[in-house]
Amino acid sequence: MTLPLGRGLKIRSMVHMAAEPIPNFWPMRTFIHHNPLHGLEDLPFPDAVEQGEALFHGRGFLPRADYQRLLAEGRLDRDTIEERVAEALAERPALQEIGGQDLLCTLLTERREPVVTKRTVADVHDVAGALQGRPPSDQAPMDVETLADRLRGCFPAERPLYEALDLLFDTRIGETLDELLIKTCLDFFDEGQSAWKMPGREQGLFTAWSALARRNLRLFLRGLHIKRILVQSETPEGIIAYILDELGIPEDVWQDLIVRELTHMHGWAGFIRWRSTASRYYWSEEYPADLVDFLAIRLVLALALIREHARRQKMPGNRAELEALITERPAECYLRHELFTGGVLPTHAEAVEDVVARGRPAEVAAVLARYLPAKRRAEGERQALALDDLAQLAGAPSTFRELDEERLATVLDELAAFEKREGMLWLEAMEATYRRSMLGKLRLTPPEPREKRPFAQMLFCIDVRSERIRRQLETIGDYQTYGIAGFFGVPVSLIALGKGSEDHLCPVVVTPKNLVLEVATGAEKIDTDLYSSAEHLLHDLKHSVLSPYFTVEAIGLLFGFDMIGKTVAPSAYNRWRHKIESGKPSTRLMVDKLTREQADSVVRALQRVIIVRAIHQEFGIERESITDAMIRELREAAMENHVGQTAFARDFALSESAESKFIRTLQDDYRINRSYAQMQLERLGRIGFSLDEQTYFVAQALRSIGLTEQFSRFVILTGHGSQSDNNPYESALDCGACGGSHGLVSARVLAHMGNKPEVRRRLREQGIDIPDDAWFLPAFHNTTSDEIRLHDLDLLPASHLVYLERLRNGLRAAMRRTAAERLQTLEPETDPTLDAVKAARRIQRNTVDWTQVRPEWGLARNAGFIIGRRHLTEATDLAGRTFLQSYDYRVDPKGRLLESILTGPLVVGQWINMEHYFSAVDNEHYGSGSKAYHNVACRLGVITGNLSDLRTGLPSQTVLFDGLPYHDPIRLLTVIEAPFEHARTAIDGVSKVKSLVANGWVLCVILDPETGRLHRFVDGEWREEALPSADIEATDQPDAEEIPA
Amino acid sequence: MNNLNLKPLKKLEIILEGEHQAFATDLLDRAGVKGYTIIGNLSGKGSQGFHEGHLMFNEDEVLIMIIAAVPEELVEPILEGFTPFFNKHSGVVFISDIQVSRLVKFKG
Repeated sequence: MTLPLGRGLKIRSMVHMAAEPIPNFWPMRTFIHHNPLHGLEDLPFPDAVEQGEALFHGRGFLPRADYQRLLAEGRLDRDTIEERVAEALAERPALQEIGGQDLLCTLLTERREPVVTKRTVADVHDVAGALQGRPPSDQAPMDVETLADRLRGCFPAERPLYEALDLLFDTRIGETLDELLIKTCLDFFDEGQSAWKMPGREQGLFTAWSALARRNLRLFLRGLHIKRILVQSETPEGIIAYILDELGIPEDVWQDLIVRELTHMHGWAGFIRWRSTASRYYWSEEYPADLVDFLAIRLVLALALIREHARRQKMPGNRAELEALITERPAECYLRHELFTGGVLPTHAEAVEDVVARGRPAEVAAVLARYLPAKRRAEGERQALALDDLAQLAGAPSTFRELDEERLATVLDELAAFEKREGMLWLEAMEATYRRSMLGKLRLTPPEPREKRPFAQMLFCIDVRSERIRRQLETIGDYQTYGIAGFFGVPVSLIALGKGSEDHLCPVVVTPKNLVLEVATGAEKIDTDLYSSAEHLLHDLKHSVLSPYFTVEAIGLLFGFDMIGKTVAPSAYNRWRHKIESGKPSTRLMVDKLTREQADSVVRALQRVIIVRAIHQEFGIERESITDAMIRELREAAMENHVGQTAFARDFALSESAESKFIRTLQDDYRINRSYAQMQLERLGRIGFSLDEQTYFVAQALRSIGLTEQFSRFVILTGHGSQSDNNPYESALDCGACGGSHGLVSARVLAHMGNKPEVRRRLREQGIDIPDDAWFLPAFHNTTSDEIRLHDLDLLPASHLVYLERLRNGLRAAMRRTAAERLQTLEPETDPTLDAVKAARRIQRNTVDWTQVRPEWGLARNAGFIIGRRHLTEATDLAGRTFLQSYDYRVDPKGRLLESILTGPLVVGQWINMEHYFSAVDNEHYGSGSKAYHNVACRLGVITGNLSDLRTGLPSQTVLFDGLPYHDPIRLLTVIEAPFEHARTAIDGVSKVKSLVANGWVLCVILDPETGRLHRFVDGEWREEALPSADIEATDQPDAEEIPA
Repeated sequence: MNNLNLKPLKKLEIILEGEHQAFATDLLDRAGVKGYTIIGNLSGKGSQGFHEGHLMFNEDEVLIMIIAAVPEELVEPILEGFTPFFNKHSGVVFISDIQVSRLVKFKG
């Protein structure tokens, strides 16, 4: 069957759309924090949470009992609960009449379970009867037609057919299907972990799999006739269309069905979704795969399993047969459904099991006649019991018994509606506590202007972990600190020394255009080793002007010779690699653009290398037998710059046809030709930043944080990262703004630009006058130990060396003080008076202890995002919970910098916040569960046990403490310090941010420094509110920063 | 002009959010479109209000336009392919008649 082009494209489009709610999954080497409900962000938060429950079966809020505990600990605001209950009551008259306020508050704070229980066959009459102690009715609550209708409602057309079979026949097809598909994923997506390599992977997921599956004896022995399905079409789109038609699924629900199929394994699906669009990702370029492949395989396996069951056990094999079964045998289907969904009454389970096994209609009818009244009674009683319990707790035991049936029905409806939206109420109460505490600490009045410049200015990442050390630095010395997204606003793609791939050092919403190479300063020694053992390939490269700048791998990557080192000289490569890993040599970054001559020279050198290799390969002639001139001439011939016989052909007696064949081979197979050379030049053109770009990035970075004058002698750019052993989640602790990598490279890149005299000259023309004695110095903040190490000191001017010791001891002191503060959160039992030196030593230990499951708390407890000048937060202990983005509205009259901050750093902050939120409220579904059961899969992610979906989100050790949330799951409170209209215009100017605020994914407050007023976005509008004072926070509010005991 | 031997083709101008660029170009590639031009950071006004196209640190949120010249028989399949996408997302496709001199660059 050949599918028409348009239909095939439409199916691709449907799969793309169906996958939108599924969050991307990035390989964990660079952990990207991500909102698991990112695909639903166009909905209001409560609605998205509800949809998330339907799609991913994850809870969007903590269980009530957890909130009750947080309330007892003072981490929740009781007044807000009461206010919200009163608001809810206003819309619920029946509850008001029965003393609703007390009742609902009691329900929330004292009853652990929901009061409204599930009823399938009992009605309010049964509940009232049970409440009033009337004897139960022995009538069946409904006829079999109604039962049949209900069953049809359980299995709509968009629900996969095997789910119906599993629930009616206990076939467990879904489970088998997941297992088979996971095995396929583990084989295909392996990135070098497994010893066995799946054959044919380069042809793509679907093709490779179908080739294997056609011959797979194991599948055949299970009775799965996969071949019969695969012959129907060559393409995955064709297979999908064939199977959905075979199953009798109407086309208007295909997309909904695909959503359900894909969300079954949203980890793998999210990974494939990301991978299929990742640019320059080695593994996807080598072994392509997309969700259409994945879906086609899933459907093939599903259909084969369904057919096998249908054939052997006479089950429905398509939608029409399922419909017919329900119509013909509704009573049996109902009992089956009860039995296999686990809803069956324990007292009747045995009888039901027997009767459905035998399947005799008369017996089934007899059992059903007994079962339904019993079920009805049980449901009525359970509901009555729950109501009575609540009434008892509220101190009015007869509350529900006195209601007539009509009122009871309304009360039950209203209670159900209230409990359904209860999560938001708890959430808002929790957020209110934090909001009052945080806002109460802010200081609106700017300090007196400084007379002299500070000893050092330090730029830190906005990351919440910078807050403590910034505060400590400012406390102990003359340091002025700033917060800026850790990639310093410069999107860089890095080829690191010894790395076989490009790393994007910027938020994932940006694709870097410029490439930076890391090169060893003392490269000769290492390179010589490698070159000598890979002589044939690399001999000539040594003579290239730029050879010291290029690592072998960088060349491979730039020019499309993948893994050149690994294939050509594996042993030398490994030695070299080991050297690099065991003690990273000192390196420089290539930040400046190559000149045209330099780029030409690199291309020429590379072509000559390739020609030497080609001669060896094609004729077996060694390098020593040919001369440089011959090589040059061959190159010219291949590039069509040379006519007539070449010296090479002459010397080795090649016929004219053999010569021209060889030239063609060079052009076609070895890619020595004009257009390829042009492409190589273009690729080299990606290296580095032009002077204009450099000036732009430095100016943008400095303006965005409001640092445009009074530059210190040291302007320290601090990148950050984490250091821990045996931790697949290490990258989750690195810099989110750098795409989950360390931030040091970004710091070095900006320092290089900022120190360049020509850049400074141009900046001066723009009004940013950086004095000659100001030096941009990169540094690295290790967030596990809080150590700050200075880098590129060999470039530091002599005039600055005398100040170095003062700088270092200042950093050391701040490190120790921060460590002492942080130790209390990691080891709450520690003596709070423990001196800072000892505390720092204990903290240091975590960086090398491979048994440590929690080397640092990372970004846990993040809760706020403050955009404004430092004086707002200076000298205030924010307990490492706020992102701090420096911003001075006075240097941003058009609001463009603010828009950039909102779309970049704030959006990344929101992802981090939401990842923590959902991992904390439902660690099993949205988080990745306990690290203790994790196994690394395919070198790209973790699975639980031997076979599971890829685990997404954060492990329990990151967000929970003794099984309860350590991270407060609340939405990010964003504070913007700027005139109200200025800030509001910026928010409205960026549709993404506007929608995040309007839909309640971030909470937003504008602090207007010119009027001293506070504006908060509540219920769809901006409201002016009083600024909470620090006094209120200190006396009335419980301490929100307390650590759970 | 007549000596140029011009051939008729259809021009597609597809405007959508930058986030969906890879999806759209993949669809065009699979339809057999031989090339396209992409313009980023668009400004303009539509049902979503005015969209400002200045440089920002979030490329997913800017509007882009993909321009492709295709033989007439590809227009319908491409539009059919985009149908599920435009059922949910904002964006537009303009189709117009154009002429090209070197047909081989666009067809075959």
